[in-house]
Amino acid sequence: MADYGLKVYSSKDSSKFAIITPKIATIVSSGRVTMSDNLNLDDTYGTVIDLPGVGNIDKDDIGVLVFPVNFTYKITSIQFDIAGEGTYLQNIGYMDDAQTYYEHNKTTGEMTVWEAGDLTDADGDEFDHIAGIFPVAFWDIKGGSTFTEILLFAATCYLIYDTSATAYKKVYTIGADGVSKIDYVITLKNHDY
Amino acid sequence: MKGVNRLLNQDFMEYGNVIINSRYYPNNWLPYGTISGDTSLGLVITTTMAYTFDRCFEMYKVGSNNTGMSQTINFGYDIAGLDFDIGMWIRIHTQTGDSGIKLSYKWLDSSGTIIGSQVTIDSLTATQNYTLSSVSAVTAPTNAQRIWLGVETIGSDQPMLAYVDSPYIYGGKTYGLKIYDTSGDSSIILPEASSIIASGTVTMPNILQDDGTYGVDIDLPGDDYIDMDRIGVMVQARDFDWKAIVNILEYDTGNKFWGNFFGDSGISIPYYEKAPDGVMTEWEAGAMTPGTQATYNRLINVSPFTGWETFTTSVKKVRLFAGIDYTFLKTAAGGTGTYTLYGRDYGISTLADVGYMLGTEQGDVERYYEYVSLVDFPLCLWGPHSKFDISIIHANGSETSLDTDVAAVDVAQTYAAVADKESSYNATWACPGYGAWVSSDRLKFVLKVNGTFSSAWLSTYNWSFSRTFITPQLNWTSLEATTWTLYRYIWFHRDGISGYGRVRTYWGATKEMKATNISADYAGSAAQQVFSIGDDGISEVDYMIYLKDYDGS
Repeated sequence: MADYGLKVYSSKDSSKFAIITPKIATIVSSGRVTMSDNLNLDDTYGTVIDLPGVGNIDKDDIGVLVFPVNFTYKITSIQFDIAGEGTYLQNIGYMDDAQTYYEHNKTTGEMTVWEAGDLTDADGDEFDHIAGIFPVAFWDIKGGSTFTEILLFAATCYLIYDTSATAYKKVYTIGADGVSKIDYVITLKNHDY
Repeated sequence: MKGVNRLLNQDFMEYGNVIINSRYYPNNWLPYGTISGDTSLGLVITTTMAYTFDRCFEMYKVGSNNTGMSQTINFGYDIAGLDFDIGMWIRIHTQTGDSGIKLSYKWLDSSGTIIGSQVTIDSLTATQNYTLSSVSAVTAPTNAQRIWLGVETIGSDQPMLAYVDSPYIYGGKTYGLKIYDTSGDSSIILPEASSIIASGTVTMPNILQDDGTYGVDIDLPGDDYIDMDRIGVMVQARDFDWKAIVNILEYDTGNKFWGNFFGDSGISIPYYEKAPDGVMTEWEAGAMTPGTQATYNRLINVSPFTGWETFTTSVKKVRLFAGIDYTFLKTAAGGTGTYTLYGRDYGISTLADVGYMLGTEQGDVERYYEYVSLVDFPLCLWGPHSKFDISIIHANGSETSLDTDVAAVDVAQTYAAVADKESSYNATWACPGYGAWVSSDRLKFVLKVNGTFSSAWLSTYNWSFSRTFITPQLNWTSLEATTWTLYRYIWFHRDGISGYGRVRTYWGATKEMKATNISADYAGSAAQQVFSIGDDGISEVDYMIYLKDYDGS
């Protein structure tokens, strides 16, 4: 039990109390924001929330949770007439070359455009296949350990096989083509903002 | 709004143990009025009918009787002169004649006796969408220490169907720390308000814990077990990868290409299947051998999954789980398995029972229960004897006994002349089997220990205690008739020929309570849910843990 801090008793039950110490985190920012349709100037993506003060704050003192609220996805499809009689039709989804997708660099946070194949007949490299689609949202720490601001990343994630690159990848769509709104909360401890 | 909502379980998230006409009541709420077959009431779980979240309370009157539910808030101190806001949201779906819904409250003194009259907030006798019935700033009278809130059906006509949700009693707060800013705004710090005691990011490991479960443990303050009702946890994935393998088919005479994804038999960190008790078992995808259909496990869904592992009612640490969740198609036959169940150090609760977890993996955290004799009765003249009651708990909370007082170990007067002794004991029991097993059933063991303590002058008294152990739902299809061996660990100490005698039973680690050679059938399946973990799954998570009544540890 701490021998410092401020003890607040319950008069409803005298055995219950709370102790306010610097180690208890405080919610310094929270709410719902609209995500941009464009990358930031440094090619990162997301909403920037400024932290209190001007000094660097250690990552261990920061807590961030982000949740997608509105999202959509962007793919295309080809209809396969299985028996060639128009009876058994199978729609097969593909990544869409008309859509802008991005790859995300974990270390720097930078987004680079990934181009989908254009589904040219008889060219297998132009068909990019989809394993899964779901929205994601997280604090993009960009490999950092201290922070003066928080970058809230959110996008629709596509797990794909990039045929021309013979690689399994994660790519994203953003803003109105991905996650358009998020809820978030940011906490700080050990901080006298 | 004044302070926190005083009502317990006001969102009806916790099922109660009270079942009325096969309907569940929310915990901390009690029925009143005439309970009969023509008045049905209980929890409904559906976002369609609920005002908030996904559940509300249904009141369905199809006879002349009336009934309702109530909760009494016992403040334990004089609340006279304090102001309260009281209310509830009510929807009347169907109404006939004079039937309807009444919401009311009563002030009670310290003994529960009503002060003045019952106060009606609303008597509603017409259909309506969810509408708030409430009173504001009502003042508690002299000697009031409790508030009773009730909602009930009224009238003699029927049918009447109503839904009620989100009740509240705010107010009565004379404590806390009020903090002002220069503009005059204020906030109050109360023990009941949660404090964020831990938050941040953590790296998820590539390997399982020693007990075969998976995740990262975040220590909670202090050394005591903390009731889960005081804890909240949120976890989310921040960095992840995924593992599957693509197989591309040609169609449209070779003009088009169709990629299908399958489980990867060459994955470096295995896929794991997660059992109901959290134990992870390696799962190997088929090798996609041409011409052998069973070796192709097609992926039909994949997504990140994070959560707080809650197999318990109280915890010292919070287990954060995270992995990429895959569903693969497979062809798997049913079969029969032989299991050993171990008593674990953490708790588990069902609709009707609370006990310690019975899991399929041995733990490494030791626990014990100690019975202490009356003073100057330190001699264990008879016993400690031990035996088990074995039963099956069903999903509705009912129980089927398989047998009682089985696998008994009678040590007679073995302990009478000793000051210290401890030993593992075991005995067998012929389990009769249970063919009516359904997948949601659980096993329950009650270990019963008893004996006779004596003084130095051979004055004696009998004592007993028991500990309960419960499995999670086991997903079996039948329990087979086999001979089990049931182990228990007994410890004894006496201070001398005066003072105290102490008897413990241990479980949780190598001093264990376990049952071996349990045989059960399991069903075949067409799909396989597995996780990839660590660098092949979710490698980092963000989390936040908050706690009520934080003592500053």
